Amino acid sequence: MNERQTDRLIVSVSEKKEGALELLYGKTKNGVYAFLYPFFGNRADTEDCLQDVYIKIAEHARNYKAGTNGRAWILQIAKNTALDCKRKSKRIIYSEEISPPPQENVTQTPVFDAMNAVLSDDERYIVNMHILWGYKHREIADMLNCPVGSVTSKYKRALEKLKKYLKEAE
Amino acid sequence: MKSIKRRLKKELDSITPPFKGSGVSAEHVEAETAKKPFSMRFKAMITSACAVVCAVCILVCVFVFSPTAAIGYECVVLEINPSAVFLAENGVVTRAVSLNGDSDTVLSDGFAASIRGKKLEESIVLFVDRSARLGYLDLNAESAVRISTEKGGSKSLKKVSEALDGYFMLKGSYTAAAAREIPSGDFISLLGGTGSAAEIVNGLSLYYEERTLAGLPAEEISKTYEDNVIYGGIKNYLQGELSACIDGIERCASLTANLSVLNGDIKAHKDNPAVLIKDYFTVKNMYGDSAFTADFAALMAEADALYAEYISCGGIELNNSIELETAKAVLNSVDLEILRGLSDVFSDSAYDIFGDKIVEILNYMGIDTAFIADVVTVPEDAAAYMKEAEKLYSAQSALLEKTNRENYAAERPVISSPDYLTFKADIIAKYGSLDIFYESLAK
Repeated sequence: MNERQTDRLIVSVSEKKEGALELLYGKTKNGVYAFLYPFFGNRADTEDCLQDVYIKIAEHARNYKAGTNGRAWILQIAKNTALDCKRKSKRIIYSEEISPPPQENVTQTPVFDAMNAVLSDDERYIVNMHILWGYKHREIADMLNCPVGSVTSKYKRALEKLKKYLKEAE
Repeated sequence: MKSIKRRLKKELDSITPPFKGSGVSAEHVEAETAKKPFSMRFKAMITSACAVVCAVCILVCVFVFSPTAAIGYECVVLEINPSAVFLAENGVVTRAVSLNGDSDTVLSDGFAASIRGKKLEESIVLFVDRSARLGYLDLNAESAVRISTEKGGSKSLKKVSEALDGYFMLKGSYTAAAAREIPSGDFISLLGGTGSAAEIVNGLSLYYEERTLAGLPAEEISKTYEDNVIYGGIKNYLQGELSACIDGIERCASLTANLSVLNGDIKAHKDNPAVLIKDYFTVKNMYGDSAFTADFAALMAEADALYAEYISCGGIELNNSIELETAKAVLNSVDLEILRGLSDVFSDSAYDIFGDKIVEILNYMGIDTAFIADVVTVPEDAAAYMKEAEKLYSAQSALLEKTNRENYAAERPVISSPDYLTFKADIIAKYGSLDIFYESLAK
């Protein structure tokens, strides 16, 4: 989803238009999920945090300034929410007995797992921003304050790592 | 193997929970969310960066097959920002290829071909000089150049180092040439391949950007092109040219508006000697001053002055009223405050909105933007990509040379040999070595 569409959707959420939040969720959940996962390393906590992120988006959309960077706004909320969730989960560890998650059929996600297993933080970030958030390499270079050539070569290296890992896993 | 992108999206769709909300369909909201308009048809790529690269590292690898025979290979890696590698046979360059993105611009426009056949040290000096002309090396600032050779390449190191010292002294530039020999393995790693240095260099494409495209699928090549060429270089080119002539645009916009008013007065004047077409341009071409009354002559003189100033500010030649009115409309089509803002900060969305108009305005300021129309088609393979990218490099180098001309041509007295040696000795005393000095600048 591009910047303009994101912007309009957030504005629609702030105007409490029916279906706006659901649409925004549908279009951004993958990027937010992939962004949150490294904070927790497991799906359950990531899912819980994901819900919290969109609750916060709904609450704070009225504060969003139209025409500014909607995707970055969402990611900032996601980051802050993830940090809050981590702080809460640390407190919980000391007050509750943690029982292991029940065994259940887990959906296999080899590419996503590979992304979190073999890529460096930079590579994972670049792949997430480019593939799931639609940022151009040059925009990512601006975010990371590095040359665009670095982003392009890291992205290419990341894809090669993923392909190699997946091929060996087959 | 299916695209990584598609698989990743599909996997995430399968593991992210469904929306838990009111359950109302979002279709009507989606319908209201208009697609981003794609008004920009022509996109040009030029980087307007006049980044001054203070650190130039030249790696010289000399691999002589037979020291006693007449034939010998020398492989010179010029690691600068820009960086390039030179392959020489019998002391003469046979091939020069880029090692990073900035070098693509330096080696473009036939420059790579022009240094083939020249002596190794001469080619390197020419490369450094062109880098300086394009603003990648500031000859007015104290800086460093690092020269490295493969172990055993001290002779090439010496001759290149001496040639560079001579160049910098002549140019009056306090730039030191640091020299070092590095192990073969490290040198080969710099080139990024396997085999001998000569084999690797002969197998490399001229441009670094072309190598970054290797192995990418068509959709990635197209996306990279959009990022790097359309929303990167072309956008930056427009911004650079706009910035360079913004004052001229402001003046020409005002002058054409004033000339348009005067033209109307001329056409309506009772003493206008023309019978059918009475505008300023026709009257000027067909009648001499002697045909004018004093009053009418004063009006024509005023128009002459406006037109002359318009031309001196960079406006293109106008031949009739229609061209004048068109120029006026184009030059005044974007608010000047917006144009000035764009010359400082030019976002992608601003580019989509104003790009076409800026191309038009620059055309009316005599700036060549014809190549922009050529690069609008997004390619899907590396060869087509590079064909368009080369046009951009050429435009980039022209713009960089233009904007850096004053800095390059600044007066610098020739440095005497004792003074230059003292400069280098002072650096060694302060930093420990020229190499450390270079490293300190490169960070």
